[in-house]
Amino acid sequence: MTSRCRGTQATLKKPFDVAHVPPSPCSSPCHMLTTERLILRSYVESDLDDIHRLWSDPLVQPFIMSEPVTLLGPKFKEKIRLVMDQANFGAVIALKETGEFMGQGVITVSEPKNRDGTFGICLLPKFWSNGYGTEATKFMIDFSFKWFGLNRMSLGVFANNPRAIAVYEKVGFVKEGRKRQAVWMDNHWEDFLTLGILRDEWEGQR
Amino acid sequence: MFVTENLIFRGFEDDDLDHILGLRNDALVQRTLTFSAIAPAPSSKYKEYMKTFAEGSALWFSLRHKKNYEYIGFCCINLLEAKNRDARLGVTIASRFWGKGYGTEATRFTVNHAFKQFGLQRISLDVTEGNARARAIYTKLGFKEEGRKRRGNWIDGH
Repeated sequence: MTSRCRGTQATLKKPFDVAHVPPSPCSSPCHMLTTERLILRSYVESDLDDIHRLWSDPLVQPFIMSEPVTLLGPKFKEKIRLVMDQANFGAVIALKETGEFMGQGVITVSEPKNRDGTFGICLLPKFWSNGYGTEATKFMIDFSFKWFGLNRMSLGVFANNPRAIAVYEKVGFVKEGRKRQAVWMDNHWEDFLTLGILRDEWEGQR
Repeated sequence: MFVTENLIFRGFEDDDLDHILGLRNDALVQRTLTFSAIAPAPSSKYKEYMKTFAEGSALWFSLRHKKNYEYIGFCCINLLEAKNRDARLGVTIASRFWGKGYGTEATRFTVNHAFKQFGLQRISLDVTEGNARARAIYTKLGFKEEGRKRRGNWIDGH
């Protein structure tokens, strides 16, 4: 998953703030984290429809999967559910002011001894270019290092997604690899870039 | 099914499973086979897992020595997303057979066979920095280093 946010103005003033709690989509309280303009919370059933719509968006889908872009039927929601349930950190991202669904952020630690978190983020196109991608990414990276005891974080992004690449590099990720001709999309080959940030590098930024 | 200078390449059989467990529980080989912490694998679960893996692989060669049919190791190819025409290569050789060129012989044959028969446009693999022997083979056969995941694996206290 990748973000296509191109914002440059977002700066986090506080790590997270629970003082301002907007209307909740859940009938029972669900755990929420907040940034200056965003909420990150666990998913509820109705979010699966929103995430399904997000993944089905033709501007989004080519950049978040290696499988062919196609019509995602209702069974796909079970795949989404599985990803969110199995993640170490599976967040729905929403606008703080209105509670509106914006996207999804996920962190998975596959091998505990290696203390490596794989990061992914995806936002609806209507929210692009406002700095939200940077804001959410920075928050999730900070949170993961602080709370999951990670030594590094990793992510993948297609080479023809410059907005996402810019976000990741701004937050401190460094290009580590380029898998050549990794994916076929829109009648051509694209390379798949892998980026990483080490704990030392993250600490150096604080 | 196939024969090269020193090796026989045959399909997976159930009697390979004890040998595969032997590879997994050889401390020298285990670190080339998995990124999980070096520890013995419980036998029945592991054999079940490897049976499923081997039978599900697009291409699986169990390697036997041409002269005495001794178990040498295995080579496998697993296809990733079809449209991307990319596959993941895995090679494991029993430690007592290292240094005899069997790794190169097996890998060379498997890579050639995979390109010819599976319509691939690339083959991928992961290898750890410390596995100089394997890295030399892959370089010799034409693989190029495309990425380096820094501090990607914890082993031997570092």
